[in-house]
Amino acid sequence: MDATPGTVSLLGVPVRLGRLRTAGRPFWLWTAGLAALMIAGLFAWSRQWPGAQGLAVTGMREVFLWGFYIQNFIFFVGLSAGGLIVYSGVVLFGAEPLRPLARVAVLQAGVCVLLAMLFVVPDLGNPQRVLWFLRTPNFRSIFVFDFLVLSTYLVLCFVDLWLLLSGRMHGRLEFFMTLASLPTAMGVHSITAWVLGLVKGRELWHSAIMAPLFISSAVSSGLALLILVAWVLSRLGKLRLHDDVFALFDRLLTVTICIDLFLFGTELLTIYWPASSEPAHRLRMDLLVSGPYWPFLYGSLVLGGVLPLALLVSTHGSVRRVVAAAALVFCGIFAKRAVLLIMGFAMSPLGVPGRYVPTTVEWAVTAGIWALGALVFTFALQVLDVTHHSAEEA
Amino acid sequence: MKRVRLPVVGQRAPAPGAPGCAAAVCPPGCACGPLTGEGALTRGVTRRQFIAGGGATTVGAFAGTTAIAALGRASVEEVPASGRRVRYAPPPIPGVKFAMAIDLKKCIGCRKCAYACRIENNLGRDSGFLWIELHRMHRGSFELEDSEAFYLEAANPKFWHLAVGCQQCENPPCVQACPVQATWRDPDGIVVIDYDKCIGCRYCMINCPYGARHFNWKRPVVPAAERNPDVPVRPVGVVEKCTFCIHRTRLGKLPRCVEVCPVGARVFGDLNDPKSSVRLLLDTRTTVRLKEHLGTRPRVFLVG
Repeated sequence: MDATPGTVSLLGVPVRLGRLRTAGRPFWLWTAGLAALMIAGLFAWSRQWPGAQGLAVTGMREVFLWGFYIQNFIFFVGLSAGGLIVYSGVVLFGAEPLRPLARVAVLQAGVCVLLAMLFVVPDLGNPQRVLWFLRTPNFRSIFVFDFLVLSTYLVLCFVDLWLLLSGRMHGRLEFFMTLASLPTAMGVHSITAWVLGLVKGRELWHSAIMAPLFISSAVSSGLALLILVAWVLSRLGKLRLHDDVFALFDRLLTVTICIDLFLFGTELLTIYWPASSEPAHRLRMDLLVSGPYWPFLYGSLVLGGVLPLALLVSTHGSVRRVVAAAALVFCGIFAKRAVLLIMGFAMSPLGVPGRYVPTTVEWAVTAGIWALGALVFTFALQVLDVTHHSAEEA
Repeated sequence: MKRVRLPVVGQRAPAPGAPGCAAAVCPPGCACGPLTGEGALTRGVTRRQFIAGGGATTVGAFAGTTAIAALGRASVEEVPASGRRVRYAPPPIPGVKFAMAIDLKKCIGCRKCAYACRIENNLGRDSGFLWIELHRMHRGSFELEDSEAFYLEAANPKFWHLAVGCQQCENPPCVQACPVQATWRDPDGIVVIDYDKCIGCRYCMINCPYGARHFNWKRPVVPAAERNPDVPVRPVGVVEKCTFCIHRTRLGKLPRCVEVCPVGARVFGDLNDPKSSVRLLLDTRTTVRLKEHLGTRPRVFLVG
């Protein structure tokens, strides 16, 4: 622990407040912008409260029951995957070139899971009653298990980060922490998938492929975000990465995209193969394949599959192409989260069509929560030694 | 007065007496109103209408949850320690097992049940849903995706009609799905919702295979003169659904939809009573239940 001026120690973590004083104008403009977005989001959310106008100010309705908030919830649960999987790769499989990214990766996992949980709140009609979750949980509802596993994961991520930052993380402890976090990460994605997959009333959701599909999409989008973060940080000169890192990312991303496409293809085959196809399934999927929602399906397949795959296969270690592929995957998987909701809500269980367009309020609340995540990330990068790594962690 | 623009769902039925009014059986001045489902109608509602309709005196952001009722607990009216006025439904009668039968041969799809239910149960007049959804089905087919929920002309012999409301399942997926135990099944078989507890996550609606649950996206507008004092007006942000007219049936009366059906297609009673008409129908006629393959075991029987 060094005693650089302007450094305070919080639970053994050196917090370099001095760096805030030396932070330049761009830093404060950026953070002020994010704070403004957060305030706007909070105001927009207040319009939804039961004392104001209720969820009528959102675009969700009778048939289309969940919208942008849950799309973001699922997306951020997925994004948190990449971080922890990279970190456990370092610990369990000795992927040492990734070691400099360990702390950033764990920070990403923690912030993303925090945002995921926050995205559930504006979706509630009576957010002030949310404590009933703790007072009378219904253990026959998968929703409750999702809440439990998300909270556990959130705590684990920040404990991991604390151990890394305070220099308490050593060989054996690191190994056991990873052994605890990796199954929790799998649980987070599986149980979130089961919130949709264990619903027998929604034809297209009620599929056992949901959990594996969630994990594959989660890993590819989470990895994509980590690649983007690593690239931005190395461009800003905050992180020095070996060229091996992007070559490794190249291979990892290629494999996860292929698995993701294969799993989705399996699902499509089950829906459309003549001897397998059921009208209730086919009619709903038709809305995406040949109906009004086609941009979402083909957008997610092209951006999250075909294009990045083409880029990666032709890469040969080009950092720029790996980063471009990551950006495409990031957008593609976001669209894929919308596809999931359309599969469930474009037609009611009784065949009544639904319609959904997010309103300004939903955009504002969403932007506010994204801004909160960016703000936490920015400050953590500024005052914590997130981009450093010490020898004893190895 | 600030106008609050609300994208309200539902489409307007023709004015009473106009050509195409829900059915030939509609009397003058019938309550034909917005149909359920996603539609094109967008209407402005003033704040005054909101308050007059909601009944709740709302000031603060979260104050809208006063003077609400919960269903399925003891005694008709109580003042709990909190000082809030809370109205409860009558208690279940021991040994009673409520069920309903709908005779598909008789039903002409006039929606009188759905509109009477709306008045009886204080449904928000422009909330965008009805507790009973009628589907016009093609002859020779039971395919719901092929049906029409927004038809304007009833009793067309080319179609048959299927009324769908809460099926009061014996194995209700909605109850299993509620994360906070805000909905449960009472001993007489009625699935009830605690409007004071519902957090409004809508996971019960997602799990209901019958689309029978509805969410109050906005505060329900119920004209004061038409409000039924026996039924609470729901607050904004909670889920609601058919209660088998719990405030009537537990006092020995028939549900409103059964009373108003002009062709006698609806039958209601106690399955444990061997002389009840619903028992008689079940014992003598062919019955099916909606989406029986899902194992929900509805207490609403369709009579062939």
